[in-house]
Amino acid sequence: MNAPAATTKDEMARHGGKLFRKYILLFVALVGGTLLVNGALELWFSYQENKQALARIQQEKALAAAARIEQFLDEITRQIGWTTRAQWSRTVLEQRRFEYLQLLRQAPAVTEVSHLDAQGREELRVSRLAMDVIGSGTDFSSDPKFIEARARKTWFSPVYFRKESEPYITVALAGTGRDSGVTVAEVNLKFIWDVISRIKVGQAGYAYVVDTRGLLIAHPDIGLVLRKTDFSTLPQVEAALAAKAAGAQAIVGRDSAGRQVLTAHAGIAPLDWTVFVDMPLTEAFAPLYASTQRTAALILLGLVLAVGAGLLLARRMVVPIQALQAGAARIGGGDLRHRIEVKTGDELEALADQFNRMTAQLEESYAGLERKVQERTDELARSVEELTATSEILRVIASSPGKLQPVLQAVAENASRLSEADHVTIHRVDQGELRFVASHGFRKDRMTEDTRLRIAPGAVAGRAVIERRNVHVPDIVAARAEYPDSPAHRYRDVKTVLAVPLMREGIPIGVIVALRAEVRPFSEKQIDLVTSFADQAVIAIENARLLDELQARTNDLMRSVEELKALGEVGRAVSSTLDLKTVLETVVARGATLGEAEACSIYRYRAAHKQFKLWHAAGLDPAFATTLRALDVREDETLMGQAVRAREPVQLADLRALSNMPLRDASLAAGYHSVLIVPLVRAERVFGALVLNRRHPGEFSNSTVNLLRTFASQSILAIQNAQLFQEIEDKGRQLEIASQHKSQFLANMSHELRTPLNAILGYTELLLDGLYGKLGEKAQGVLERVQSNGKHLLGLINDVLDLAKIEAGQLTLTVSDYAVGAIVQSVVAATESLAKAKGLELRAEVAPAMPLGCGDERRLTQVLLNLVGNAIKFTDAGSVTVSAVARDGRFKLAVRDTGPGIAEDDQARIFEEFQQVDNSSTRKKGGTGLGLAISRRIIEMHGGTITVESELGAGATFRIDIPIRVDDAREVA
Amino acid sequence: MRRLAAIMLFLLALIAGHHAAAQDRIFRLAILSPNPTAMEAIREIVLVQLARLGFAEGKNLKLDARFGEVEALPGLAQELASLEPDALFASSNASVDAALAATSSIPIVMFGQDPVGSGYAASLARPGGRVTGVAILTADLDVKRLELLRDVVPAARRAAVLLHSTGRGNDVREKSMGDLASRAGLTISFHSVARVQDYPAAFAAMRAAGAELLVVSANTHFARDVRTLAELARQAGLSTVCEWQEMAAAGCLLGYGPSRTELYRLSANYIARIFRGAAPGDLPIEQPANFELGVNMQVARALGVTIPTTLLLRADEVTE
Repeated sequence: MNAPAATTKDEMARHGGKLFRKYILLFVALVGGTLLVNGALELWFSYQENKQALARIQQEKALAAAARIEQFLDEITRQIGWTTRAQWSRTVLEQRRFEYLQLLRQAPAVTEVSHLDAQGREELRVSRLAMDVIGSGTDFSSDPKFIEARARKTWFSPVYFRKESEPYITVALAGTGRDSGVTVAEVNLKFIWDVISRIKVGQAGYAYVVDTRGLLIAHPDIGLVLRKTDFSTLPQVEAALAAKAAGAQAIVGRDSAGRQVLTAHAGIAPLDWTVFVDMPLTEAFAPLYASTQRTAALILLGLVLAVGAGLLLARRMVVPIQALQAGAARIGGGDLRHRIEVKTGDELEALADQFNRMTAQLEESYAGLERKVQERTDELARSVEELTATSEILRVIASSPGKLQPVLQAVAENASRLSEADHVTIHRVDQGELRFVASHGFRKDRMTEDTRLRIAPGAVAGRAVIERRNVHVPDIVAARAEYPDSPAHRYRDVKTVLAVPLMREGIPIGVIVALRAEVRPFSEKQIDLVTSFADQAVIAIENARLLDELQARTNDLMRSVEELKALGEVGRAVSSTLDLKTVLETVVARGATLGEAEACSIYRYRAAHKQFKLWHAAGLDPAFATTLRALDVREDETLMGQAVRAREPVQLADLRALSNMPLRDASLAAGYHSVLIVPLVRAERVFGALVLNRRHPGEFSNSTVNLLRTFASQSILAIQNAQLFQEIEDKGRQLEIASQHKSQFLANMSHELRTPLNAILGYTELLLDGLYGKLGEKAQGVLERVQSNGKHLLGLINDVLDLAKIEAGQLTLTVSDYAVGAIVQSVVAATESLAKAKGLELRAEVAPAMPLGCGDERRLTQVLLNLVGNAIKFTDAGSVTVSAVARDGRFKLAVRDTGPGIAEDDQARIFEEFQQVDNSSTRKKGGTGLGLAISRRIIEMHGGTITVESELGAGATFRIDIPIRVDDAREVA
Repeated sequence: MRRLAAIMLFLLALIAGHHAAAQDRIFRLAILSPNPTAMEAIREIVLVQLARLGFAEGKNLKLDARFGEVEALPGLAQELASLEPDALFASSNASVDAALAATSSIPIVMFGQDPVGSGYAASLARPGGRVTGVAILTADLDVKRLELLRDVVPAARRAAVLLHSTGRGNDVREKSMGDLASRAGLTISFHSVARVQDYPAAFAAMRAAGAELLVVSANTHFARDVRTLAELARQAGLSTVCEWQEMAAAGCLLGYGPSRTELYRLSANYIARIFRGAAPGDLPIEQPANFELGVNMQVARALGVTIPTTLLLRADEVTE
């Protein structure tokens, strides 16, 4: 009770001042805000008005200052003017000097005065400082002071500084007469100081004059003038010089020290000077500041009053509220007897009363509440006990998964304890009887595992099962008539009986029986309790059942998976090779393993003999194998034949049951007692059979049979594949040998043919040359034909020889350096006459600077010669062009003709041996059809390609592409 | 609550104390000059002007004046420097030299000649050093003085010039005045003196030269000894022109020069500005703008000289 009170106290301390502060702040904000807004508005308007008034005054001051300076200048000009207008002006110089001296006396600003005659020559100069000069005659006729004065009567020079310090202007006045001269006066502008310093602008304000360049001419601080201060950078001067407009409004500018000033300006007409009137902003706005201070003081006073009033009011409000708060805190802290004392006579007092009433009610209801809580607590304790029992059963279920007995034991025990039963027994429905499974409090010898009770309505448990409901008999002795069959009658310590059926999906699977030794009926709660234990028992039984089922299924699945895995492996092993012997070995080995048999063998079926013959075996003892090999198994009358015919596996669990079978005795003799025969049949073709032998008698399981059936079909495929492969391999080998023989024969034959042909040609030549005497004309002609045909025949033989050599692998390249240009030239030279004879143009286009090639020059020449020869042969009109270029490390040779062209279908064929474009013209042209084939071989041997591009009727182009250096290419390859 | 009240009291105090007066301090002005008679003019003009500008003796101004011969000036300057004055008013270039030598920090307001040529200032507009003040035109005006004197006595043929050995620009004077003399057909002689004791000998020499006109060159010492010189001139029958208008009243025939009143007033302005914190190097040196002519009719009559009307018209002060 102490802790919350302390917290409340802290809270009070924390929040205590807040309301008080809020009140004061609200007051101050209200009053202060009003004052501030009012003051600010007033200030703003008075500021605007003041500013305008000040600007007006300032502007007027500027104009007045300008007028005074103008007056000063006018005075000087007027005084100088006197001397020009004087009667005696044209008289003697002495008189003029006298006049000038008087001027100097009257006008202290004039430091020097001189007279120029009508021609601009200086006649006289009178000075305060320097010596007077008479008749110097210095020529000033081109000086502005002369020209301008003559033109305008009066001229003011720009300001200049003597000794770089004192500001001066020159004032020149022309005389009135026609040929009168000009009077020039140097005026010291320091004298404007008297004027300017007399111009009073407020307390600290002042006026100053700048010329058109912004240079300071007059300022109360003469030092600034003497220093030639440039004011053109001051904002107001800058603005005024830029605007050139007089009478502008007063603005806020800066003085030379950077302070803010209220400034106005006015022009000084004859000189283009500007007079500025500056007043420090602080002074200009002094009245404004005073009014600001007044307003601020008023606001402050208002604030003080507001705070005071706020304090008073807040105190009046806050004290009772604090009393309420403290009272509420005490009540909240548990002191329900506390009453709040507030006597303000307003809503707060009403609130306090309300609080007090509420507290009284709270106090009352608190007592009732405590009673109820006690009751609930007792109930809860009981529930906790039940829950603990339930959780114990659950724990037992969890700690012994699948084990039913301990769970039922726990159920019996807890049910007995919580329902206050002296004994509890549990029975399960088993083949129409109730089998005792667990008990608590019952003497062990009364019921055992073998105790079975009939399910009869005459017994309490039986009725509960039959009627599928709880049966409660408060006194079994009294109810003997109703329950004559009850075993309870046997025991004297059983009076009250309660039977609760164990229901699973509406089917009774057992019963739980609670017994009391005295007549004391079970309460509703206790019955519910036993029922809930019954439910738990059902769950436990169900769990155990499901677990058993799951176990069985899992085992089945595992077996299937293992079989499949084995089959897969076998399949892979069997098809992993194409060697027949290996395949057979693998099949028999794996078959034995799969079928869990000691031996496995394959029999081959010979359709011709209708017999089976042992082909391969594994696990057979050698003697038995030898016997089997010698044995022919006939198709009819045997199990093997039966299996093959039926296309189904056949098995014999015990060979001894079989009679009169050729294999039976031998098998039995070898110690095999059972056999499984799986037919090897595929697409109606019988290969044979797979036979598994086991030493012990017994059936092969269904799954094993199925497994082996699948295995058998896999095996057939593998065996078939291996057989086919072996056959192909044999054929290939035979073909190779035949081809070699052919090439060898051709090579030999050609050689043999060439020798006599050479002799024929040789002798023909000798005859034609007349070595054997002069021949008749006819004979000559015949011989020439012999020679021509002989040469042709020789060419053919050479071609065949070449090809044969290539095929036999006897043709080798003689690699040496060659010039591709030379090859082209020699080919052209050799075929030129042929071309000419047919009226064809033969062109050679060899790119310049071709690199030296490396290859078989003679063979390449042969290829090119063949191509060019062909081109000439098949072209009837037009031209044949041989071209050669080197590109990307390769020679690109091309033979282009304007012949009939080659059809697309023929283009691929013409490079094959003995192929020619088959049409009448080719037959007319003759040829073996070997040239291009040989050419292709030669080019390929060089590591190059030969291709043709052609269209019917549009000529053909044969392209050769070979590496420039063959050895390089070979190295690369 | 208490805090709030304290804040408000503080604000009120702030407003009330806003117009608190600034504290007063005493400014010390040192004066150094070879001419004790100038003290009178200083009192009459400089101090009056200073009082007008807010620096009054006995209130916030303390004066320390030292006068002495040229040789004594350095010692006096040391003495003044040790008093640590806020400004030192030095009359004559010798005083300026002495003051410059004695102190390296005290601002000096000069009342002398040719500050640029003497090396006191970089230029008149921006002196840049420790010296500011007024530059009296001396050498230039001496020529003008000779001209005026000749206008008064056109018949005179011989002129003499009294120079002081401490004066500056004596060579310039000799040249420019020599030029004028030769143009005007005058014979001119120069007589240099170093101290009062040399005066009689100088005048004797002038007499010996037969001088009729005498230009007493611009120099503080001559201003100091004006009465002695006037008496010597009267005895020698010399028509004299002196540096200041006031010197005519003291016995010179003519006095022509810048307005001494104006220059003293300007000097006071410089002193005041330096008191207020201005740096002397920033204050341009002013030259005289007003020139005054004084004529002593008594002396004229004694010499038998007729003053031309033109000159009388120009005169600012005529002593009858």
